[in-house]
Amino acid sequence: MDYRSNSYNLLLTIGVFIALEVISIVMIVQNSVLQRYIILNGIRSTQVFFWERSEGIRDFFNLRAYNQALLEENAQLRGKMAQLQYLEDYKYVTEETPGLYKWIPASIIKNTPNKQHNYLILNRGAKDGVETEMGVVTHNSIVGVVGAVSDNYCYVISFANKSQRASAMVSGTGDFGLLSWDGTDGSGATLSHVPLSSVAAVGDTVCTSGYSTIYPPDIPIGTITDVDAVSGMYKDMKVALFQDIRSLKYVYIVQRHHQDEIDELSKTAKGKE
Amino acid sequence: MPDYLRQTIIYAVVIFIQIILNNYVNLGPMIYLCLIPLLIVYLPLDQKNYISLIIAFGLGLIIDILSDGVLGLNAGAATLVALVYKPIFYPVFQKNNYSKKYIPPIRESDIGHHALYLTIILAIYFLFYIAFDGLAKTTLVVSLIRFVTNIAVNLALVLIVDFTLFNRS
Repeated sequence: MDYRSNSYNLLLTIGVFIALEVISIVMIVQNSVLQRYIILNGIRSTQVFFWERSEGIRDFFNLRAYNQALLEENAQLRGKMAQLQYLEDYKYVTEETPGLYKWIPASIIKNTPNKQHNYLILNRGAKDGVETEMGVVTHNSIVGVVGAVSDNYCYVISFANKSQRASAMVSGTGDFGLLSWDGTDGSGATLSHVPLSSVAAVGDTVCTSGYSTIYPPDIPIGTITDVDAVSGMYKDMKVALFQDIRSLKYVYIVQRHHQDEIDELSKTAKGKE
Repeated sequence: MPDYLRQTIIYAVVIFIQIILNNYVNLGPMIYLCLIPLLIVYLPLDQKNYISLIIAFGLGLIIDILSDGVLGLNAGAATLVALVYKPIFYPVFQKNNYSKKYIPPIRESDIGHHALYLTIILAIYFLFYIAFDGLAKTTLVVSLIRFVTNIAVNLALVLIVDFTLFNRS
């Protein structure tokens, strides 16, 4: 009887263990950040209330750094304005010429920069025209992609997330590859799958390529700190990011105009292949 | 105070500490401060194994839901630890005929046995945790560094909490 009881308990234990582990692994695999956002939306809305207040206190003590960053950005924008004014003066651009991208300024309410699967919550939502799949950038960094939107807030899958890749290129040489976070801190990334023929060197600037419709082109991201040939087929390059994602406060949500038209065209072209 | 009530209160306190650690204490992306293994090793030794598994799974899931964890990550790691915490206890503490309900507190055994036991438990926990938290997308060296660092940091943390909350007579 004892033997039968022990065998029964052993089988039950093994069965329960396998069942629970399968459930866990299925949850891990299936649990995309988007699903998780939807499930925990109720909890998040309460948390956002407290985060906004605690961020307000933190902002007060970081005003000097924010002001400095804004000053630098203003300086760059003034430079751009001067360029545009020049073009307008020579009739290359008219008042009716639409910009290529829609820019929505936003501030970060919640940032989880110290995890392997990071995300941000911004104070702009559907009421402000934010939609999923919009890119989030600053003047010198890519921040992430909008994963989900509520009326007043949006959930951004951070670039500092193992699942994120961005198309980037080396300024000057024009070689492009896939940029991903290196998973160690907020200021390191890897540019992978760069052609072996690339002459890019340490110190060169890496910027967005514009080949994806998520991020505008020519946003400087960082500088190359190391170059490695991988399996004699590609080069991988370590990149020191200009902007540590952990210290961000203000960002821009961007969307390419006519995005729907581009998506529709891609679908039609694929259908004809 | 009844034993089960005291144990429940201590578990609630540790879960609360864990949520605070997850949401407000950041030591960088490589380090995850984790007290769940400590909760599992203090589950009753005379309890049926499948019940320990279910409790451990539940504890892990609670932490996954209430903090910013990936759903299922702590639950899976905790379940694995619940499967092995008893078979590891007896040889490490060299107590084949141990009849008490819980593992002996530090004051009754010694810190060496506790440290060794908790190191093995933490190693098993983080083996699962790091493997499923992106081993395929991280180099083996980085994963190994993360594994060793997490065991070292969490051993210190777990021993402090063990000594403070579970070190009763």
